[in-house]
Amino acid sequence: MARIVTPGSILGKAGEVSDGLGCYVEGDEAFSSVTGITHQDGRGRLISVDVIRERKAIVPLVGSVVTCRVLRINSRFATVEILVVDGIPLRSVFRGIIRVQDVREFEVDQVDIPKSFRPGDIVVAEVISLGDKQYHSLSTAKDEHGVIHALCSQSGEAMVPINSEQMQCPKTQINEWRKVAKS
Amino acid sequence: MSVQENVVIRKSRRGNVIAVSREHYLRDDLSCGCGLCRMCKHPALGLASGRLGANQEVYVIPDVSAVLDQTDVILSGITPFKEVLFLETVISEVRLTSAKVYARVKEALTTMGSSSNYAIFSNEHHRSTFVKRSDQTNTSAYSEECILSAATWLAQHWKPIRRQLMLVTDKDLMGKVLEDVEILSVENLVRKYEGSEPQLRDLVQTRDEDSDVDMRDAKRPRLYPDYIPLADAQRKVKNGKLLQGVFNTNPFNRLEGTVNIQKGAGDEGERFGVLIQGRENMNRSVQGDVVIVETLPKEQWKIPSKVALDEGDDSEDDDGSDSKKLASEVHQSDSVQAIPTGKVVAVSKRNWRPFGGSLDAARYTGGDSALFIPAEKAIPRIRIRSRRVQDLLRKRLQVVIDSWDRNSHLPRGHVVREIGEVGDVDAETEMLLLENDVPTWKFSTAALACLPTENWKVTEENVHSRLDLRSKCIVSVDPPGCTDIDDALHCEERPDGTFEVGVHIADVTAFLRHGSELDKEAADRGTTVYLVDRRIEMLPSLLSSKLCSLMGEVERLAFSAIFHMDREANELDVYFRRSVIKSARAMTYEEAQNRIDAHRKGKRYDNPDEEDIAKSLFGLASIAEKLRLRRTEAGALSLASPEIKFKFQEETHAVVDAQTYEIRETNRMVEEFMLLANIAVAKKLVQQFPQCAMLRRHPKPLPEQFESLLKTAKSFGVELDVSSSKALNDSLNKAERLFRQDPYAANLLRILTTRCMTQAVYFSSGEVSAPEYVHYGLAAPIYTHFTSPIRRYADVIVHRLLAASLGYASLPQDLQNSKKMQEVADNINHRHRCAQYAARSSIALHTRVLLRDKVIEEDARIVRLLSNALVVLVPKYGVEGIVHLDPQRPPANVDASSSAGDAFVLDEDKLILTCTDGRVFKVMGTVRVRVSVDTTGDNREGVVFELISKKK
Amino acid sequence: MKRKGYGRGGRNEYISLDGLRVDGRRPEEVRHIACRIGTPGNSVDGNAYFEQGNTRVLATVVGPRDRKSSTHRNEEGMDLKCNYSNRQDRRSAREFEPLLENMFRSVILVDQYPKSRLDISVEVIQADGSLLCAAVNAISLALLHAGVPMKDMICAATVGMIDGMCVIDLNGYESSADGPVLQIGVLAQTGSISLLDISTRLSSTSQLQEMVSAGTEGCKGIYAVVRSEAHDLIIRLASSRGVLGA
Repeated sequence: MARIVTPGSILGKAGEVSDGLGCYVEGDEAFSSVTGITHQDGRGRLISVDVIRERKAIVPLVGSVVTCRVLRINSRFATVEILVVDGIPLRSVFRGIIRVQDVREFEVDQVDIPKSFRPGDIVVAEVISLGDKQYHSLSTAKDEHGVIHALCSQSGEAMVPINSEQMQCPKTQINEWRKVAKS
Repeated sequence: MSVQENVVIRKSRRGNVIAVSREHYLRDDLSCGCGLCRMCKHPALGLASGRLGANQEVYVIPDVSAVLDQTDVILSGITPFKEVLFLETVISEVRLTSAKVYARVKEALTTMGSSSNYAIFSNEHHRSTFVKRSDQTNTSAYSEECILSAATWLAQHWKPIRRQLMLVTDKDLMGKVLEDVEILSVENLVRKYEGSEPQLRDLVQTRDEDSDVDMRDAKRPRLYPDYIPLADAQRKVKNGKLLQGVFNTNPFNRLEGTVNIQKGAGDEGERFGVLIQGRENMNRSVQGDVVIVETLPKEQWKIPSKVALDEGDDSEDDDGSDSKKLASEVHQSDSVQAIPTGKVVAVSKRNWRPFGGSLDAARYTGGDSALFIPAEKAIPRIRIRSRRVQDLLRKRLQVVIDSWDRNSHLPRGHVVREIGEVGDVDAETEMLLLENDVPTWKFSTAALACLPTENWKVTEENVHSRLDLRSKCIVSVDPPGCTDIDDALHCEERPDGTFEVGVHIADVTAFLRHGSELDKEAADRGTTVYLVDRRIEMLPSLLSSKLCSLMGEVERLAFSAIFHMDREANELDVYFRRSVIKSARAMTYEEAQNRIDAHRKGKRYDNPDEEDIAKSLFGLASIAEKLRLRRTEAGALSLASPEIKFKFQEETHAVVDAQTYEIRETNRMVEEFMLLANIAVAKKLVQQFPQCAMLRRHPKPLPEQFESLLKTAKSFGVELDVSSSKALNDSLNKAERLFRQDPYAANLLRILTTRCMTQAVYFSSGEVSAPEYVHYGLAAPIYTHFTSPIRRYADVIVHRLLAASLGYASLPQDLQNSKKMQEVADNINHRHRCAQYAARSSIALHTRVLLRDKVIEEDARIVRLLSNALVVLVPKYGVEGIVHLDPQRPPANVDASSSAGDAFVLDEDKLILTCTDGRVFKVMGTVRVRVSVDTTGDNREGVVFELISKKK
Repeated sequence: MKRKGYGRGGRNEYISLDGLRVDGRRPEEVRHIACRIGTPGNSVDGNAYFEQGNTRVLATVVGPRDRKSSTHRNEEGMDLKCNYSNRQDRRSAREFEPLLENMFRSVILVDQYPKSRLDISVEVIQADGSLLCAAVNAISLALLHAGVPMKDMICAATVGMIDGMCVIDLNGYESSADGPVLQIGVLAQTGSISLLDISTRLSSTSQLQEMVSAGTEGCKGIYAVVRSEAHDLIIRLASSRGVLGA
């Protein structure tokens, strides 16, 4: 049964609870860390606390899959702003960079940033480190990561991917280079 | 509970206007104050837990004016005041107006088990009786509204239990009408019940209706000048045009007084007295009043008179004879300078309290009016009016002054309490306690709740956390019959020939938590008061005579000072610890002395315990001897007071005989170790808490304080050197040798020396500069009291400080503040002084009892000369009094035309009083007096001295 | 009308002979509490209004969000900044801010928020005693509103010792009384103490125990009100989204 919990409410034994957001374990008991409604899985065992979506405070962690927008590019890296973390929109953006060596897994030395991202692109990436001072380091090395949305530089139309390295404008038929996410 | 918002508009210090909003909760769960009521819950909360009961059908609710002005009636406990309900509104206004009255109401409300019931009703927080204050109403109108609202509601509320209520007023509610509720004035109510309860009438405070005053004004001459308005007077005091100080009546002459003025603050300020002579100049001032005086031009400055004023000379009938009584100034030698003289122009604070005393039976001529003679000489007689004068004549009474009009000679007052028959020891004792402000009430329930259980024992835990001294051979030495044993001692010789000396003091603070109700009570009492036949304890007897008392062969908690000394009694080391001890024996001074004497003679015991005790005592005695010697070297004074001891008959407790107190070596021995411990503790405290240590100092007397002593000594050829305490002690010892054939004379000289000294006082180290810490009498640079926590509160504080300095407990906040510490010290000083006076009065009382129905002829010593009388001291009984020389017997060889005052010539320098009939009196001379007790009760002193003859 | 000629009035009295405090409460009673999580028209991440008698405070939480500058103290963990403002008493901020920061850092699951910052600000709207405690309670609610994970909710209360009696939730007038004042913050559900601040030295440990247990009771009372408000919030949000069904 769903129940309303506040931080500090006991949810159950440590093993019974998914180690997700909204819970923490101390000793052999699990407690709620947020206010929300408990959820059970089908067998009525596993519990997680779900905060109402918008009310979940979240930040990008190592391993988080984030959706970001490219702000600037140069030959070494692309600067992005992180908009969504693990499917949850952030209240305020975090800044990240995708270095040239993290764009793809193969032929790393041949990657050209302008041939992978352009300012304005929406990119799905993974956080690989919290980086040095200000920027989270992101990687699009995995096949499923990369540009998911880009506009044609000439016509302004949303382009469609044609292979893992190129996208095409439906209007002008011009091909542009991108690190395309495999859908 | 619901909330009301009270908004108060206030101006801030910077001049901004701010609205302060205060919450005001209204409740449903308050008790109406009546225990019979079943509708209210009666949770026992707060200090006042009393409830109205079934003493009366009618409950009395006094208003503010009734409580303030007729406190005695309201709290009399006489029908119809057996069930009194105080409204919150009334109590809070009383509290803001008069702390004194509030204290009495509070006492009535918090005392359990009296025959009458007092209760409280929090009307302002009760939902049904709350009145919202509108912006326009002023405070008194608002409180009136509150009272009426509460009364209306209560009348309805109590209908089911068939109780009525009656609002009683003195003036505020006069003329108001309320449905269901009777509003009566105190006057009318008393009139109603006067028949059955005649005492009521005396309690009513008489108040002058304005018209009454006018009428009397017209009829009678104005005897005293008007006061100038107080605000004006106080402004002029600030300007320095007038002076303000406390009025003190000359104890030998009630028509003269001095006002002690202090200009400037602290010890640097200038202090002097302004002489006030004559009734008109005294202008209705009473002993202790704070008055404002105007100094007269220098030409009119006078010399303090040396005339003793006979008893009873200040009745209302004789006026205009003042000048005669003060006439003796012409005879005084001119060497005495005239001092500033002034007149009282306003009184800024009255010191009117209830005065104890009795009615003047001798002058009573019938009727409702009589003169009341206060026991304190300095207080004028008080005219009282009562229908029961006849009943009151032979009784000890308490009377308060109501007013003193400018056209009446004496103040008017009314009887507030009848203490008992004149001459009855209990009644007299009660009165002397009241007179000396000794708290006689029982310990409050809250205070008693702080006590441990009767069968408290030293626990294992105590032993672990404390120094275990149970194996030491500790003994206590006290007077016979002493149950509150504060101190115990032990002495052990170490293998290296040095000594370990332990001074063990009852650890009262282990039982008395700081800030507890019991602690507050003890702090207020300040000291245990020892009277001849009883003692009024500072702590409940469970603590003072049982759990704290270091009784023989019982384990007790103690605070120990352990000294390490060499053979010459030099202190090598000292440390303080909380400890557990088991006293081997509680001995009397006499027993201990016998034991020491026997040991000196070489008596040994087979029983090792007995031998240990004897050895311990002997060791203590020999160390004490050395300590004493060293102290005397340093200049400690040995002083004397005329102490006597009474013998009681076993069964009846009647006084049989008196003898002077015997001081043995063991008394001195114990004293020596107490001094040692006290000084050691004082040093430790001042080092640890330089700002807030409780110390005791004895200021060095000023040269002028010694003036009369020096004169006296000189008059029979003794030169005293008062330059230092050592010099003084040496010269006193020299005098002792001089008076070898008359040992009492030397003693008398010591008594007179003692009287020159100022009192030793407690103080906080932060309030006085270090050089002034000195204790003159003991010649110690620093001193405190540590050794009697059972009977002195100062010692309790010292124990707490010491415990804090050793890390046993943290020091409570209010003890860290020097100002607060000084306040505590001031109270203890006051109580201490009162206790001394009470003890002295008690001795005087028992002396009177002893001398009653007897006429004894005794030798007496003259201690002071007045121009028409002698102040004498009878050594056998320790009593002191005035012998009036009879001027009506002019010797034949003197011209009969010379006035009475000329019959005696007082030589101020040589201190010789010469009578024209050839008799010559010298200070310290011996006279034969007849001592008897005046049983009429009019005489304040009680003991009458008559001169029989002068002895060579 | 001023009554004259009766000498001096008595000193302030904080508990009447009938056991009532100046405002009519019993010693162990907390003032009327009202709170609201998420005031309308506010764009910050979390905010709450808290009212304890006449003490009214507003707390807002912004974040967790990206750090703007590189001058932060700890490189890896979460940066918690607290800003306390009381127009009447500007000095207290310096004393309260670090206290609040430390207290909440201990309760927020900071490990989950590396390299981020969280800004808390408290504004005293009206002051009538127990300000620090009201601030703590308000911040607790604002954090809850922002969805910041915490080990537990903190509830705080003041306890005074007046005339030998423990008095909870002092108002402005009572705060001026002589005697020790204890500020106690309690983790509402686990019951452990997260804040203990005492104004003066106490004379004995038993006195402290007495005050702490009284304070804990007071906190429980406050928590009951806070919790029901939190429940309301969830129900409000959930029902608007149909999570709870009807």
